[in-house]
Amino acid sequence: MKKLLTALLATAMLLGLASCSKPAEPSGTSASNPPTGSQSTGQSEPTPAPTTNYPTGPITMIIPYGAGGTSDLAGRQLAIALEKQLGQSIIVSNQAGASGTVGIQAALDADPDGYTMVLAAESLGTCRVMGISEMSYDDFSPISAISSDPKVLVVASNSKYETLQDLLDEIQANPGKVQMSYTGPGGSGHIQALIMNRYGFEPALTAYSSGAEGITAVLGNQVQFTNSNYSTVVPYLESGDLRLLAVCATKRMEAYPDVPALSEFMEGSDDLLSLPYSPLTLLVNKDVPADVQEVLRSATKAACADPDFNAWLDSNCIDKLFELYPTVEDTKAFFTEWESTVSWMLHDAGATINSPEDYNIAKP
Amino acid sequence: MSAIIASLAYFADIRFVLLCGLGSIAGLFVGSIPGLSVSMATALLVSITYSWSTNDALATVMGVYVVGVFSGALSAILINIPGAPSSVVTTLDGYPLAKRGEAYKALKYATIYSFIGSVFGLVALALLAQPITSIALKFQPMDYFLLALFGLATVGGLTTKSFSKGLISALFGLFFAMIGMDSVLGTPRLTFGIRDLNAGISNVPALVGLFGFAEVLSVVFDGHLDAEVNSITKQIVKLKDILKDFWHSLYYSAIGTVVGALPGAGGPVAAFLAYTQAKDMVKNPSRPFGEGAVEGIVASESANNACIGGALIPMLTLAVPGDAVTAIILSVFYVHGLQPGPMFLKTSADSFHAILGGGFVGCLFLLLLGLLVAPHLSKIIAVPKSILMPIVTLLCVIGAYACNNRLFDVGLMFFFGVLGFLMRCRGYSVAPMTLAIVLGNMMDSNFRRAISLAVSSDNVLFALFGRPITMVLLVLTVFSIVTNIPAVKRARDRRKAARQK
Amino acid sequence: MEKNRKKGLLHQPSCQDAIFVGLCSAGLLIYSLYHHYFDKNTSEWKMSPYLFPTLLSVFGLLLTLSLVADALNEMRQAEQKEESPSKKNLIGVLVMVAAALVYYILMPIISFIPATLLFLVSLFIYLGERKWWKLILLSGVTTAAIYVLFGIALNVRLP
Repeated sequence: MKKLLTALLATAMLLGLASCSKPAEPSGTSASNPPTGSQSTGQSEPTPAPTTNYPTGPITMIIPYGAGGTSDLAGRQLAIALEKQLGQSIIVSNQAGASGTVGIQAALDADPDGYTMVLAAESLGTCRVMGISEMSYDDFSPISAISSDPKVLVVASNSKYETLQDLLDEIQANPGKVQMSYTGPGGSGHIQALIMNRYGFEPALTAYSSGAEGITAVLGNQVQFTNSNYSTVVPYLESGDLRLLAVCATKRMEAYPDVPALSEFMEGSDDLLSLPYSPLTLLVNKDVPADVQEVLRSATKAACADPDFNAWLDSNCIDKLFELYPTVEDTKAFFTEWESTVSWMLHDAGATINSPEDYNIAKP
Repeated sequence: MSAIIASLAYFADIRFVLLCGLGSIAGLFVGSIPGLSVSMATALLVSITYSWSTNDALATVMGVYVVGVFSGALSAILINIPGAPSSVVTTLDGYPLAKRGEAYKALKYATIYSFIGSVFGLVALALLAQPITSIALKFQPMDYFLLALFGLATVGGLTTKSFSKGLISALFGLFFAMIGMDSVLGTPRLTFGIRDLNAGISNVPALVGLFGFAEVLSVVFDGHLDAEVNSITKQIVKLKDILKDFWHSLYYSAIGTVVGALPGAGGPVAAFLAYTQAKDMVKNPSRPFGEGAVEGIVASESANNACIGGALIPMLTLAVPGDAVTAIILSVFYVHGLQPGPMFLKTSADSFHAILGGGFVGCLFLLLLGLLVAPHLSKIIAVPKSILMPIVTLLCVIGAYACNNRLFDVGLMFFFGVLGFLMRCRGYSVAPMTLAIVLGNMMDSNFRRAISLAVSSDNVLFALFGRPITMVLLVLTVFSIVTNIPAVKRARDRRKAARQK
Repeated sequence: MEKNRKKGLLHQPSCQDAIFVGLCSAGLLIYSLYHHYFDKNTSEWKMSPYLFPTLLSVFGLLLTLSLVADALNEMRQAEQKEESPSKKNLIGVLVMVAAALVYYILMPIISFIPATLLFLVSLFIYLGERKWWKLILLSGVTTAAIYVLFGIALNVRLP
């Protein structure tokens, strides 16, 4: 009975697999040519680097944030588009925590065989100065810059803050008392809070492990407001559970012409607020063979042109970074600029553990 | 109500029922094989079902989920190795029953009450999703922390004769949970420079080691390998007798649903809380609790299966998953373009009904599989130990390896196996440690969150404890700790004895 | 057994455990305090990763006291001692652990299937199975079943 059922189960799952992709190669063969530490591959003789047969098995895309946040949504949409291009299933794996460094570290620790990608958010550029991790963009090779979500300030709809002015007045009157949820030191929420600090607004920060949890903290009145990605809060704005107070940028959003941009209330903040503060980029370990990287790059380029993916980006007012930084060089240049601006800003605010100078990060 | 009726229509959809059935069979296996977790199976399903239609995918996933949670009880009862953390409590009474040759009875109780619990949870999901969401939103970080602490304190009191031994087991579990990347700041801690420890200690190797490998070692140590096999008496268990605990089980199911709706707490806490309640409420159990009381199985199984409906609530209404499995189901949703959130129940009513339908069909399969297949499975314990034990060891190894594809986890599994064996020899229960490993990180981050929130308010103490839920939980926790202190316990027993005279 | 009872506090199992728990807690306390004050990236207690471990170690020290109290209690009521040690098979345990370790080491070297076959056959023999056809059948079927289930159906990359 048991064996029969086992066989049944096995066939069922095999059929399932076959229906969505070519049958995956059995174990072992897909892990190939790790330059260092072949601890988990177990292939006794070294196989030559794959030239064109990549990918032969499912690819893992690590999203270093919890399910349901913006990065997660964008990553999953991208994964769907990318699966069509690569002809292999892409397993999206959420490994949240520590401003995203937990998942990024996991991607760095995986075998550099191209079967593990990571959709890194901004924290990779700041984790060194923040003393969270010794990783940086230099440890990875960019496949492509993907997207950036506008940051917005929201409060619960039963909050006493009707407008941005109310909230800012309160923060100014009681520094360190008005509570804000964010996703951890060095993350985009923290950077935005630091920009606010510069202009005399000092909220009290409490870390949550995902954007969705940060929002539940607002809904449950644990904190007074949060700085969230726009696409995460859309359903709550529709349902009337949250109130949109401001967009953290220099321009108002087209969909909400009445909601002010944060720069209107902070004179001279244009330089700081015009950068994309939640850039998502698809990265692989820099030791991944160049030809594998090229396969991924061209597939990603095609995936970014996917109409469904673009429709999704448009409907969520997400900025398309792959249009802004089309080549690898552009992306790398953007990394450098972003890293220096933000690292020094954190450093000047006294929020860093290590000086950017220690890592040869140039002053902007 | 209309939601339930709409979801019952899915029983007429043959394709839907068939897929759900396939999922159920898969769930039966992944759930009952130690080390193969339901979350792993659902993760796999995400990649398999992405090209399917939404309803097909939901049917399969719900089948796996409902039956998978139940079938953790099978291995818990038969070989004392819980298939998942939420079945840990079932081992307390289920395995003693099996040792007496009453595995059949234990399985039947587990099946019936898993069914009742699952249906209860799903009905609550259909009718009370909004109110339960607002209850869940009222829980603040301190409340989560206290709830977990309360769970640990009660487990400490439940599972060993000496309360301090139970707490020590929990304490070491918390210590193991602290190892790895700190979830708030992301710095590695307590890793002692071992890089593989940076990712922390996953639940599966710890669970499989503490229960599975430790059980193998204990069996070898006791030297009963050649002893004749456990006999199974095929008893006739009357449905009427089983249903005696029906009203109690509704209470346990309510606990399960509410605790399941609190993200991060989930099945194991619900099962332990229900078990404590059972110990207080049931005055004359069929046997003393911990020695094969069917009432214990009733509590644990109704509560942990009711968590299914509960855990789906915050996932659907807040997009915050209640446990590891719903986190993956959430991704099935995103893959199919559904966006859970406050509007989901209104805007995607069809998918909501499909989930409910899948759940109810899954419950039906749970009942069928539990009643038809489980008696055959119970023959496992008739397999001679000398053959069973190597195979169990092998499953432990593979299970530990498969959860993250890391050989290091197998090493961890051995470590926990030896540790669990030594603990048993010394009279420490491994159950509090397992629960602590599962809950540790959630406790740590919520505790710090609570402190961080309180520091910025005017009155720190009031901010920490000044809410009704917090005060109730605090009182409960303190009460359960104080009454279990040996001196207090002895005094109480003495007074009780005096009164009886 | 008679002797055991008279030997005093240090020979009570609870007391030995207490010493162990106490040492661990003290170690954890020192470790946490050291890292809290000397690591570069921890400044305030409210967000320190070592806040919770410090609390744990304090609880551990309290529990040590409670264990010592248990031990004193056990000494006073010198009744039941450990049940008669009916031929406990310590060597068997060591063999199992050793076999598991060898399996763990062999797996990445000679790959999954041979290592598993070897492991199963040797354990079956050790645990008293002698019929060769049973040995081959059992280990062969188990290995194949596991390989099909995990390696192929569940897509686990077995070593």
